[in-house]
Amino acid sequence: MSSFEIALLGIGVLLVLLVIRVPVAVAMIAVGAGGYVSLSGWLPLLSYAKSSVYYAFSNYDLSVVPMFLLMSQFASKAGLSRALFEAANTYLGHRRGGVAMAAVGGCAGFGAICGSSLATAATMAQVALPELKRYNYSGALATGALAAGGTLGILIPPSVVLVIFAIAVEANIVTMFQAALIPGILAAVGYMLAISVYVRVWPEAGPVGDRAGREERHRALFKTWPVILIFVLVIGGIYAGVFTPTEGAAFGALGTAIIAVWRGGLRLAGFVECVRGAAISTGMIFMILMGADFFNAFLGFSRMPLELAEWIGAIALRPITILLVILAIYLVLGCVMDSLAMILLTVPVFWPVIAGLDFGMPEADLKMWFGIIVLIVVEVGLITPPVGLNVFVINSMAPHVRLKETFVGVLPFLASDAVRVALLILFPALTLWLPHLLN
Amino acid sequence: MAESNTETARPADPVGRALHFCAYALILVGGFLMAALTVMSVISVLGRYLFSAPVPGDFELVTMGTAISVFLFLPYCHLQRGNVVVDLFLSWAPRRVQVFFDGASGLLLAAIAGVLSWRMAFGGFDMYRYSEVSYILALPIWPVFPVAVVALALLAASCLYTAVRDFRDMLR
Repeated sequence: MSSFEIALLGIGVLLVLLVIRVPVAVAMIAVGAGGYVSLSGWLPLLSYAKSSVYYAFSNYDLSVVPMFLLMSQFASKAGLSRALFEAANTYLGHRRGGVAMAAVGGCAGFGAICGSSLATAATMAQVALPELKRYNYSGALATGALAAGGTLGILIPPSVVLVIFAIAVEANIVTMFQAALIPGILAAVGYMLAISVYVRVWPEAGPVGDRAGREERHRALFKTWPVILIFVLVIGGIYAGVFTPTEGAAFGALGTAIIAVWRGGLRLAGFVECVRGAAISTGMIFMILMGADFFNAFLGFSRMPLELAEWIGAIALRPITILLVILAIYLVLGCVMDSLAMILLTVPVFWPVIAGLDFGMPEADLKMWFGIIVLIVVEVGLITPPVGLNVFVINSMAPHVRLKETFVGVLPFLASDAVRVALLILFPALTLWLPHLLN
Repeated sequence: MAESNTETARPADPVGRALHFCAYALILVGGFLMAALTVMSVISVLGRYLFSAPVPGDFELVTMGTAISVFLFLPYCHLQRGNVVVDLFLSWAPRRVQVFFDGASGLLLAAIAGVLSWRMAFGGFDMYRYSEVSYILALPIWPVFPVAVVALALLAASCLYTAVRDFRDMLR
């Protein structure tokens, strides 16, 4: 068998292992190690295993991950979600569907200090779901808005998944975060537009809320100052190059911890709980990174990704067609797979293919453009059946809403996602303008 | 995204309790190490801008510290069933089939963690023998390895434990 065939066989075995519920990390290590042995024998593998995991884990760029996870944990306990929701509500609540828009706005604000989707959705839902119910919003719109709003947590920097993508394609994390800002704002605006279209068709789904005076608005906005301060300090500092992303995350974790102690009543037991939550998430992510290390060693050895890229480059398809095919694959995989695992699994194969095509931009730009689009497409999987994690979590917090209703409620937001992805593909400047401006 | 704050029921049998206790102790050590690194990074940045005096070797302290704490997190993560699985195709299968495959992948991970623990013991010995040190502070690298060896051994033991529990569960 040629090494190309061994690589294809390895990918096939990997898929079978995933189907029978072998954890992603375990399947990747097993296939990676097996492939490595079949290409080069036992001794090189045993010698590789002596230090490979140490080198995979001791990467300065990666240390940003546990710190952002710690920051997300503290942020969810800092009692900031209420202030964010109420501030957004004073500005938007008087519109039709405005309370749901405020929930999306709150998610966007929370996403600015939290790098994960589920934490954003769950934290905002605790505050916003009772309010949405009080204003008689339909269960579908209320839960749909929050499930979709959660995905803003991952798009608006900081974002753990984006860090992992940047490391996987050896891109600069700072410019990656810069590139994500405008698409993130577009996402929040797009979700609000989706709500306003929705309530135009079904007005009873989103009744108008209370109108707030100017002074009340200012007061509510002022209460969100810790969020604004932390976002400006952490993301602003990272953008301006005042400190590295890891140092920014350290500031963010410390800042959110202080606010959690001061405003959220965090004490030792709560602190240990935060550490435990961050530790479990970190463990999961690094297990998958360990798997990716072995799997990539095998793929790299087989030269399969390069040959595949050459082969695809030789067929006379337009680059955009190939991009769309890859995005379609992500969409399908995203329905059943965790986004981070999916990125680590596929990027070693897909990135060389994309990098080998001519999209009329330099490679550094291509990394940002492709990365942001992939990030959005994989996050769509969080709100689509059959395993839409955000949908399950939000639905479990709203006992009066059936699961089917939540999935229906998510549909307008999926339409908004589709429009946004199309815009980002057609106009790369939306992604690239800010990083070009800042560098 | 990968996260879960739900604590699975604590095991009642002595072996499970002992494993759970050790794994929990490790994440506390790793977690507080992480927190200490966070504070150190902040101090280093402030020192750099305010007094032109960063903490020397701050990057490599963070890098090595992160590696240590991540190894310490792994056993607990497995005991909490934290590993990411594709939970779709088998969700329609009978529970026994699911539990069988869970047990089998537990055995697979036990073997992997065991081999890694064994190999990293040699890796640490190499680091010690060749006196590998970090760039700036010239800290020896080898002390990370015993931590990894112990954590991976505990991970292997935890995997064997959950596998045995799964297989028992299947036969019940």
